[in-house]
Amino acid sequence: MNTPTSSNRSRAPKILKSAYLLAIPALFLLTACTNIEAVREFAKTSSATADYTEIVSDFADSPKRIKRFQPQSAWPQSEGIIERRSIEAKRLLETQTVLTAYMNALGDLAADKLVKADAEIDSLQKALEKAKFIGDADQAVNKETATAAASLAKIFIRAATDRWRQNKTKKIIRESNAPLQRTIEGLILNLDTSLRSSLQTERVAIGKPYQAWIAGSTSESDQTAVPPIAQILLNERLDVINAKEKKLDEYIKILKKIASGHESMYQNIDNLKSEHLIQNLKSLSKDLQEAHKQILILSD
Amino acid sequence: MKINRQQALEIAETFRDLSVALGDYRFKNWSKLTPGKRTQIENIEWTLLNYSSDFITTAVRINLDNLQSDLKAIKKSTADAKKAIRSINKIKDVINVATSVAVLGGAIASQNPSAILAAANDLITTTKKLSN
Repeated sequence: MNTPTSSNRSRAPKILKSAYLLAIPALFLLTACTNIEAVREFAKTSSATADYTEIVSDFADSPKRIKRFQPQSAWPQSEGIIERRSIEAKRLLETQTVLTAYMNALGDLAADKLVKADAEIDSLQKALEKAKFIGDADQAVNKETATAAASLAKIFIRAATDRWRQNKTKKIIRESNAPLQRTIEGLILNLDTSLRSSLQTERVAIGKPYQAWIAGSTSESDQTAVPPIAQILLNERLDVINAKEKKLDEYIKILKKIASGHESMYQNIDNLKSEHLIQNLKSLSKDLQEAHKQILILSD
Repeated sequence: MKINRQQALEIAETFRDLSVALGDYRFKNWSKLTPGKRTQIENIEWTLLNYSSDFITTAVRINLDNLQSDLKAIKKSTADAKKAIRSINKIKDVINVATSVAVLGGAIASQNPSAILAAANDLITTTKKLSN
């Protein structure tokens, strides 16, 4: 390793001057590129809110819940359905996981702290000082010069990595937008039609024993004792299914907002820091949080 | 002939409607039906409702089959994003190596054997991280 010499020291202000000149375009580059914080916030919120696995459990467990209301004669058929449903539920969960992992990685890539190497440079400067490469000794670079150089290094690294990072982010958004839109559309279609249909089948299944109870009592001239109680109990059971359906509605809203935000980034791919996009992503992030809050309220 | 997702859902709905219709008949005619007949009708109702559940699963399976190539593309984008993050972090790792080298230089200059050993170990650890 080369140790600093006195000639190094005398050259330092000159190097510094050149570095400052180089810093001007770097600073320009930095102001032109920085802050895709709205992208990070939106992607991270999307990842957190899309990661709602209860919706898949509702789908997977529906035949199991139906089985509870069935006579034993229907159980062998039900068991096959439970098994097949469980296989598709796993695949559905995997689809959800792919989506959340993608949004999470996009959020990490858009994080401002990723392109900052300030802490690392500060550590290097301290290590150099401790090793007497920087300081008051004859063979050292003076402290002010080193501090200024470190500040410039922070700007250079940030400018260079940020530019590269933004290009990568753009490429990823551009390449993934079409498959992401189709995947979310497919997921919504599955939830909006199949899961809703599954909940409807569950409603019918729940109704059968209660309706039989009501019909049996009514046929024995009991209009006032059993039928009203049976109806109350049935309504309570149906309320549970209604709550699941409301959560489904909120989750579909979440998926639609994620698709809309990603599409918006794609449409503004060459201007990810445009005020219009930032405001749109911020507003979508708020909507996502609100929908997630509603799910939590419904889950209580 | 293979059915599509929409057809699977329509079949599921039809089976469910039939099960509901049979149930309605059973409940309305409860006293007119013998217990044996009621059980017979109820069994058919559950068979139909189970078919409905099964066709819903089929609809989901068909839909998921159709999404596989898109999921693969998203997985690739996720891997690309992670790789880009790793590349940026390598720059920080390089600075960390330089820091370790400086610490080792200082330790050698101080001629303190335990400091040299600690700094050398630190340099090895940081360099290993970089090569991973």
